[in-house]
Amino acid sequence: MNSFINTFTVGNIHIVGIPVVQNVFNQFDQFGLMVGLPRFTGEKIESYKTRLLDVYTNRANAAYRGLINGITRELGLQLFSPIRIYPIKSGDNFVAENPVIIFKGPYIELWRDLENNILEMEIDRFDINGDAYLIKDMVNFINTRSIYFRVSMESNPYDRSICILNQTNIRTVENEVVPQSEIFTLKFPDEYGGAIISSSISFNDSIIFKTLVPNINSIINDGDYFIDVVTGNVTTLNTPSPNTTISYNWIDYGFKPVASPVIIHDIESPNFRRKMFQQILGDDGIYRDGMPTEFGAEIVNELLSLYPLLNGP
Amino acid sequence: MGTKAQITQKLLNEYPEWSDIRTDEQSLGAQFINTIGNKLEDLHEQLKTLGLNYYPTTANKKDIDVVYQMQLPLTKTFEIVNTDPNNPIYNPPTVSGLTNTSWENVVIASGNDIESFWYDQVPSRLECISYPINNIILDDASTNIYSGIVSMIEANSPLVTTSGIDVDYPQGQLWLEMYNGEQYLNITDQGQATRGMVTIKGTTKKGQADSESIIFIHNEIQRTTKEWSNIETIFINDIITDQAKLRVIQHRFGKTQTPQLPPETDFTNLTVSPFSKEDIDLFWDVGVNDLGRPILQLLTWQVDDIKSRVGGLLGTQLIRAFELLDTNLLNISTPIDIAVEPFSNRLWVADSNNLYIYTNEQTLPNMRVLNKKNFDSMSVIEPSTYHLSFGDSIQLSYIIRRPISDVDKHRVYVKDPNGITYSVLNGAMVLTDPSNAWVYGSPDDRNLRASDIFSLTIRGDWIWSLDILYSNGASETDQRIISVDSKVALASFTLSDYVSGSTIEGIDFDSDQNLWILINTSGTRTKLKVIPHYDVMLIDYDKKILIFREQYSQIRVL
Repeated sequence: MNSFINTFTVGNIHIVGIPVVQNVFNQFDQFGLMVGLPRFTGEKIESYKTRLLDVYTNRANAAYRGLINGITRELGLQLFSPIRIYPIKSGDNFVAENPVIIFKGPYIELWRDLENNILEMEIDRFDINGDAYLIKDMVNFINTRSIYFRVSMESNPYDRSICILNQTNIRTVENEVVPQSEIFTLKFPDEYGGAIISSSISFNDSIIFKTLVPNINSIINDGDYFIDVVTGNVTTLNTPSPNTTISYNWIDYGFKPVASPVIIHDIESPNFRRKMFQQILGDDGIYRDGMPTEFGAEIVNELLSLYPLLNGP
Repeated sequence: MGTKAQITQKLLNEYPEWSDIRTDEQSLGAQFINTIGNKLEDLHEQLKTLGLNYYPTTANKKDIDVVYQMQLPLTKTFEIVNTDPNNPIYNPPTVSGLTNTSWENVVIASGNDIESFWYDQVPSRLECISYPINNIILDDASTNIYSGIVSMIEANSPLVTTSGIDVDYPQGQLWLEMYNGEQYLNITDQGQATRGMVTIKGTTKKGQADSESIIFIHNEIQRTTKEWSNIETIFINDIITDQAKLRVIQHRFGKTQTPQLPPETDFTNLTVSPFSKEDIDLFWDVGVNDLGRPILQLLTWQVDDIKSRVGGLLGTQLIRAFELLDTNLLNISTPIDIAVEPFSNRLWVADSNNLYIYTNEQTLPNMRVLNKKNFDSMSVIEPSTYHLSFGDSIQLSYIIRRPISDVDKHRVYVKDPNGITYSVLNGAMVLTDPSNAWVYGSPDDRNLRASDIFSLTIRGDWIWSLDILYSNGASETDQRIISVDSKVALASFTLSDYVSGSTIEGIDFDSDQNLWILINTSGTRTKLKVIPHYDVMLIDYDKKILIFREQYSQIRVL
């Protein structure tokens, strides 16, 4: 609080003090009451307004992403996009068959072909002594080691790479309405483009869209159709009927994963258990949890210390 | 001096068009209604602010939010300067606050209330942060428009960009200006009504893909409601002809574009003309008058009827002009740009090296000097205007409205703002006593004498008087005040105190209510974000608390 030093000068008293910040309630505090987001002491409208509008954009709830959104906002932190990660192309097509990136707990999985379970590499982003602890190290690691993926740095090189939330570069489109035309284009790509995963395509009309043929010249029989996975151009033999819709997944070439300074681990996830317990190879070829690791023991001890509080004496 | 409330005319328009109360602001009725108008306007402005404050995107972002308090020792006594112990008037202590660099003198808010502490306070110093300008487009004369984002004609719609156009910091609401369009509302051959529409698709400041459509009814400039950080596609639809042009602009800097950007709208923008009941837009602009004096201009549409404007009659007319003076009562240099500060009554005007703050008040002269006027006079002076700027010409006609009696004699004289009385004889102001200025005889028509045209070159109020003696022995006097208007800056700031070797080319308030300055440093344009600082305090004399707007690391009280 205030500290006073009263110094006597000739003829008058000279007071020295430090002012204390005080919020004045205004219309933005009123919005804050409505959305349950109080203003910090000394927070000015400019920053508070940003947090208030964020309530509608990044919803908070009890699921993984909701917790991240809520905690990030309430602590006055911000979501950011540190990198863009994309599969390498040769011409219009990806070099890898089905290049998928998955951020999954302590590990990053780079898949050459997710369909057929061909993993290019798994990167440990948890270990402080590992190759990808910081975002800049992870970028460097992927760019020097990966044959199928490249990363470009956008911001925050010195944040931990585990700040990047669990997510993948697969985007899902559900029930896109199909026009009544034998040739039409799907709306999937954003500014960078991408490629549709052929195996994920499903129409609600399985008569006109019966067989996906490998090229446009193979459309011969009723129900044959062809999709150019890069351009999204669709060609059918028969005109689609009204209310036909298509659902599909596509790989985003402009994938910019979202990151937050708030890191949430799921101790139930198999990937995180690998960090908590020594993995023992069973006779059936499956790894199982063994003794806790040093880190795992710390977490177990901490959880045990909460036990009596939660369940009574 | 008083202020004419914009809402007064709205009240007066309840009277018939031929009545003096409606058309003559110096009539007794108009003066009386204006006192109510001023209060009503205050209320209206507060209601408008409240309305805007309902939504986070439109709310006042410069409202009072954080203050800094310092408790003085309870033993501190303040000097009392009056002798009434029940209503003591205190002498405020001398206070200075330590900022990063220096000790600033902190003054008490003029009324020691929130209004004067926060809302009416002018900045005591500024801080400028420089930002580069990447958004540049060409105008119709192939000159750069800085902070312009897109320029296109409807024939080239939709404009599709490969990876979008990034909007410079601060990515906010943008201005869309349509011009060269001939018709915006139309009925197609199929009988469908169409409206001119511009649709933007892109990424908002929050990083979400979004789109926004804005309807145009005639050539005009409008602000988007969304805040954009990247624009990917722009559609222009249903405007005739397809040569109609769109400009997307971040800041309305300067007045040098071809065609020039429209003048800025008044923030409260509530006015009507004496001849209509429709609301009509009010604009602020700067320029020079015929004598080359810098002036602030208040403009409105030439026609009241919105249907005529939709038809393309979009000319503007000057309602008032104020000569611009700096804080030393000297003319400012040629004004370059004006910015209307939102949620306030302040206007910022820039010349090439200075910023000035003025109020937007429409001043009225002190009408108590009309002490000899017969408000029901049959013979009147009819001036072409009550308000002009330095050196402008005014025409005065002298009319007998109801010639029920012959005129024996009449005289006209005028008192200039310095108090010198001239007689008006044969179209000239003559320095002779009005007792020598009588003109005898009755006129042939309703004109008492030929109209006079004078150019007035002294600032202030000129009081025109007409004395008339009728053959039936009745006499009457009409008086009118002609004001040579000027405004004195509330504060001024010099650019060279912040940046050296640069000139100002434009100023603008963005959608976050921050002031920006476009500067030219030997050919390179950058923009400065202006952060105002207010070294002002409130004093709670009872509880011995000082309240500040600025964050000082230390306070000294003497």
